[in-house]
Amino acid sequence: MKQTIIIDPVTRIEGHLKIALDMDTDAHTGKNRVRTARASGTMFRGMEKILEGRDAFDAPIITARVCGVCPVSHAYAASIALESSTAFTPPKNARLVRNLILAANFLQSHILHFYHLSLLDFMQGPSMPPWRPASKVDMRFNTVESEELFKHYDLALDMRRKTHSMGAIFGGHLPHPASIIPGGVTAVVSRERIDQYQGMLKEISQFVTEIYASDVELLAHTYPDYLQIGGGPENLIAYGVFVEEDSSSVTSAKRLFPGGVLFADGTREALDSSQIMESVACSWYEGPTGATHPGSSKASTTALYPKSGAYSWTKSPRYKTFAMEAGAFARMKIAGLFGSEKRASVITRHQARVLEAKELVRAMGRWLEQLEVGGAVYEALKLPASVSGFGALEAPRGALGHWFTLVDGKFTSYQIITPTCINASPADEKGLPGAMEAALAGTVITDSSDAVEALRVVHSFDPCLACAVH
Amino acid sequence: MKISRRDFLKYCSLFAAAVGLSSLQLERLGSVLANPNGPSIIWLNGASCSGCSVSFLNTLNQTTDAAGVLVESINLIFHPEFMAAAGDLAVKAIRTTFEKGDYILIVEGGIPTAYAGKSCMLWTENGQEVTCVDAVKELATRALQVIALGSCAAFGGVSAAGTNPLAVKSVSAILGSSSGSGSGSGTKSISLPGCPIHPDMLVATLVKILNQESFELDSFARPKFLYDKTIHSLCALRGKPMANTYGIAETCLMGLGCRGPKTRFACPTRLWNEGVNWCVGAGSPCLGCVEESFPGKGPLLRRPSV
Repeated sequence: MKQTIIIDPVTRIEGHLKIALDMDTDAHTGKNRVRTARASGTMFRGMEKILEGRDAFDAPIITARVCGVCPVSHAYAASIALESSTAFTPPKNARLVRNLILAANFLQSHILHFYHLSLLDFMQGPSMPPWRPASKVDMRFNTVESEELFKHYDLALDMRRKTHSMGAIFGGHLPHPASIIPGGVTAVVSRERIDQYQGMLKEISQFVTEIYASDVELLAHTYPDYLQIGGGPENLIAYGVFVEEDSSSVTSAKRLFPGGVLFADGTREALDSSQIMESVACSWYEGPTGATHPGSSKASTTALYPKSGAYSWTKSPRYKTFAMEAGAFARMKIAGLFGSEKRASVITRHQARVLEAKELVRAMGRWLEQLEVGGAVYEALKLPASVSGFGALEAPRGALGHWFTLVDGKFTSYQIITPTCINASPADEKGLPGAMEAALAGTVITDSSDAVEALRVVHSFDPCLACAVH
Repeated sequence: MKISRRDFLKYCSLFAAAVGLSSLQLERLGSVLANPNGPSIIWLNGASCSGCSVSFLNTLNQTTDAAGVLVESINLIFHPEFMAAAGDLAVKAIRTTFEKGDYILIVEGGIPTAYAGKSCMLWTENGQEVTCVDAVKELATRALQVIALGSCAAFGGVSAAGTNPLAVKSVSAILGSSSGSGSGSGTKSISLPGCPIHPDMLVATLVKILNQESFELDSFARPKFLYDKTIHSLCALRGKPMANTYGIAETCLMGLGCRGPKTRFACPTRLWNEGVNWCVGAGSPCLGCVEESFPGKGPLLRRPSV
């Protein structure tokens, strides 16, 4: 027997996502198993079009508004896209301050994701809104564990807020940092700011290493079967992030988490940005049948609704012809911090974020020490009136790229490919599903009216649909 | 997030100066919150980045947590980021609350109208995709109060900038009309612009609404007690040497296009993120993000003369 279920809205994510699951029901066991899944981004703002005709230096400010959870990554990507187009090297302090703002926001995002966006797939909160109504399926934590985890959910609200405050010391405010601009940062480096950041970092580090890490291990211990659920294509991509040396090209500079590509068969490759392609076969946009490189003159984001065969406002990025997975799991694998024994799954994606958070709190202390009090944070960036460029780094959710063309100082084209666009993409022109769609296939759903097993898989990618569609 | 009603009152008393609450008014708030049938909140995200939701989590006061305040004191029936339920279970919660009426409807983000609103579909109900424009129109009819949260909901903001490719409209444009405070009319809206909102904006306004305090709105439907003096008039850098480049401490950023003189909010005194900083404090000119003119055609930043 076959049936289709729709989860719309998918909540506890950023943005608008609808999931449709085609399921087979086993006549003997009565179990529903997902055969195919469709992920639909259901909101489109046209941020790329909004940038057309604007001044180049508006890009970090406008693109930060792509996402309220990872605005730092966008402001930063826009800045380095402009800077690298003229081989500009930002001052050392600017590099370090950008790392510190971005790292604070990574911690913010990972803490929010585990406690406030994911945990309620595995346990019930108090009996009142917004925790009720809630799923009742397969809740395994005992009362003591649930109470303890919910205390941490509460504490994590406080810690998440502190990570934002820490980032705002140099960022001005978060979300939507004010100080990252082409040419460096606007915030000066003082002893007071370093000490204030250091003080907050100490408290957050303790939370990450003692509480967040042990809660994820408790989840792994209680739901070991989820090490085998939600795998997906296992083709991993990262552009790399957290620049460790002064360079005019952040994609070739030494970074804390390097860029690269790691295929399911174990083949590793250096990232070749010319192989990043986007298909709109199943997306509500005009475009050719085949895939287009975001830097090509054919790349555009012009809505076409309705459109035969389309089911999402999200495009379908592919590397060469492969559907890829981006995110902390990809970063940890590509960096070699996760070995071959770690396979993509619901649990390992959570474990990757914790490992990354632990690596980050150490690196942040190091970057603070490298700051030079009173040193230059900004140098005027002279841009040619007409130029094209590409900026790439990692957002908390994975690989993020900005491509632009500037004519007479104004954008004539701006293309953004976000990590959730990579992960939650619809099928491409060959029918190849996106990573999240592929990861959902095979998932067993106990109760088709309460498909929490599917939500666990979806949430493990930490989808951000406002980013994905922009 | 286990915040008791008593904690909320404590929070409000700490907050009272900023909000302008007297002890008598605080007492009244206590009895409003003691009512188990107190108001519910439905929080919708239209064409938004969710930055206002995230900013709301960053309250100033460290003794309690704004999210806790809201969820414990008010029934946060629907919030796409924080609610446990998904799919039909979530939609049913909205429907039940709609039938009861008298909830507070918070709309974050602009409202796309191109493609019959299909560029922003909020959920599926009875097999049909429901657009943001339809949801806002319907839910507003039985709301005690509608709040247009953030610059996109209030004015269109970034989501309506440039050629406005999705024909994004503000909440008041969708509801057609008169904005204002007070109960009774389902279509009046209060605007709380900001990109993102400062969390105080929402907490202070909700406290006033719960307490049935009347308050004046300006011509943009913003509460006057919040959008009052200009940034420039409160700025500690006013009168300092004029900045001609970025990254220099103790300079007035008007030389770089700061919009402080035309922007009404108390960023310099309220500060952001637990009071650690604000845009100008980090050397970045005010973008005027609470005003209808944000982001405009730009340029938003003036480049230094080099």
